[in-house]
Amino acid sequence: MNQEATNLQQRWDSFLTKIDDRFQELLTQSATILPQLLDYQDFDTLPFNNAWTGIESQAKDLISKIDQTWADKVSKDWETIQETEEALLVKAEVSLEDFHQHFYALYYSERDKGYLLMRKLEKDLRNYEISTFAAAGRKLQAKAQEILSGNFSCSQCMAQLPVQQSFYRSYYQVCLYCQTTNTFEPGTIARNIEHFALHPLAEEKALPAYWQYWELLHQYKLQREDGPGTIAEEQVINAFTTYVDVYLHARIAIIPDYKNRYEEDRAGKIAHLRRNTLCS
Amino acid sequence: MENENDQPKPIASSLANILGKAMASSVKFDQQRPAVETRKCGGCGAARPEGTDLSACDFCGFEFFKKASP
Repeated sequence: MNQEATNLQQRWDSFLTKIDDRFQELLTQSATILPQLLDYQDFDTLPFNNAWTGIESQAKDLISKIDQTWADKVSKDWETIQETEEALLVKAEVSLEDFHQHFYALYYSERDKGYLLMRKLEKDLRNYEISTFAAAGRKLQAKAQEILSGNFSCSQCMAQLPVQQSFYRSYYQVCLYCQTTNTFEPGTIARNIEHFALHPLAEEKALPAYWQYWELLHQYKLQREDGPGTIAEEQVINAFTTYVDVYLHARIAIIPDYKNRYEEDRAGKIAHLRRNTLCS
Repeated sequence: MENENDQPKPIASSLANILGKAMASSVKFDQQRPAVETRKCGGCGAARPEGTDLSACDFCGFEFFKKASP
């Protein structure tokens, strides 16, 4: 292939490297700064969530830029090279067969470089999201623990009232001395464990199993398009079930009360996979 | 691929921008503090012991939920 093709390859490689570098820099800095935002905002999770939305949007823009640039510019430049080369070969009355074989192999390998990077960045984004939220979740969990290990007294007789350390909703707590039924309110910070910290902390534990399922699902979907395959639907469901089991048990380790709904949650998640992911 | 004159903003600057906007645009809700409270009888002020009747005070018989008059 001519010098123009080599230049185009170099420019495409350099573009992909720049996208990857910028993506990693954005997410690495966010992973450091965002959990600190939680301290700075007195454990208010709303600014954290809003900031993540902005960061995620920028990261997704970077990912989509790869496909967009390939379609709008790089692919067209390859077509121009192809047309120029074909014209020269036709003029020299040389067969186009060898050229096409070589050209398309190169063209698709260049296109796949972009697809592979997009897939890698999508995976990185999820890893960053889970680890950033889990780091913030641990901060919130430590703060909630500090609050719940404080001294609480019966509102009737002022005797010390024991409170649960791993339950983050309001509940009745009977005073051991005067038998009065008190309502214990754990407060916003402790309540946010369930809304903000529980999911990423459990996801973090289940991430290795999740990626095994993710890879298998990808292979399964690819083979459906290409024809008969070797990965059965049940294998995907089994991989997903392994991931769900780790995730649900990690949640139970944080809030033991979730044990009561384990079977229901597990069945619901598997039904959702069958209905929405495997049938689409 | 990219216009040389159209250089992207440095990451630190766009991150600062995102954080600034997130803090400025987030509604501040009052945080509920941890607390303990007891429902008390409106008649005698007694607290409700465990396992007692929810409709009337065990101590003075005060009805917590009065039936509406026909």
